[in-house]
Amino acid sequence: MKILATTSLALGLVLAANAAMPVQSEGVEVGSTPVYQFRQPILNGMGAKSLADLKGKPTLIDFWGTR
Amino acid sequence: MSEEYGDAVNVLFVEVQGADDAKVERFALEKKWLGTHAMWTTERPLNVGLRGIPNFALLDSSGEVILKGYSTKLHSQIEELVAAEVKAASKGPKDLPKSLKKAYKAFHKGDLAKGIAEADKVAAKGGDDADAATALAAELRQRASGKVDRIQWMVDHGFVVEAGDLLSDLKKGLSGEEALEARVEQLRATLDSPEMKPEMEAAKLFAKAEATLFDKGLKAKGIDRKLAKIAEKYQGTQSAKRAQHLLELMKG
Repeated sequence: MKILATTSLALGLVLAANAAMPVQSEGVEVGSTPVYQFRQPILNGMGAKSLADLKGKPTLIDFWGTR
Repeated sequence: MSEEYGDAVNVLFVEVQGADDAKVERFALEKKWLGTHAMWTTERPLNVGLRGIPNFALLDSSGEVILKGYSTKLHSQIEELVAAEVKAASKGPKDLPKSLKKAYKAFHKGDLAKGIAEADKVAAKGGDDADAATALAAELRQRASGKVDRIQWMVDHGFVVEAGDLLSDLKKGLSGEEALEARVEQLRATLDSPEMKPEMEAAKLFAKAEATLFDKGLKAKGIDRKLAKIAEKYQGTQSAKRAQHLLELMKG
């Protein structure tokens, strides 16, 4: 019982710590070549399914919000 | 950027505040932001490492990150780099050996088979650039195959007018690459088949209605009736599904 209570407390502390951490951490480095396979179709993507499909032209990826 | 450079630049907008795809699409429709080459997603393909938005990552033609940061702060740098990258796109990656520039340039111009053949030629010669040439030939083949895959996707999802436009250029560019040529022939045959006639008709009408909606926004007069007519008359086609989807989006 004591072990269960201790574990629950520890888990709670870890979860609370993660919630307080920044959403973003290090991020991609300039000079790296990220790889990603999209799980859902991209709107207006005309069948592009991965970052690799976008090669051959420069790609600007803009992160924004609707709120 | 998408308006200025057309399809010479990929622009991908990533919504990161938890909206779903329908909300993003409706938002963009309301703002009249659709109708360009820009793409939209709610999936993060990479992490820039910043908290505030808007932020961005700029990738060169080989997919390498060349700049990242806050979009408003680095706006002029983005513009300069994009202009430079559009110009440099035909030359290939910076570390591409001189012997392979011709191959890359041909491929970029649309002579896909010629580009691949040139890379194969350099590979066959042996020497210092042989490995790079083999890798380039493989990459160009993959990219050429990717182009055919995307046209297949367009045909499967009702973008048949767009697919038809791209197929003619692709057929010319792939002359000599037998396997891919065969796929292009098959796609052409599919588009020209009698079974495709309703889809083609629907797609042409839908393209007109969609263009009006994107131009005038949700208040476009009579657009809901046009879309409803397409959805009804061409039931079973992909364009009818797309029309129905827009109608639902317009209802909110």
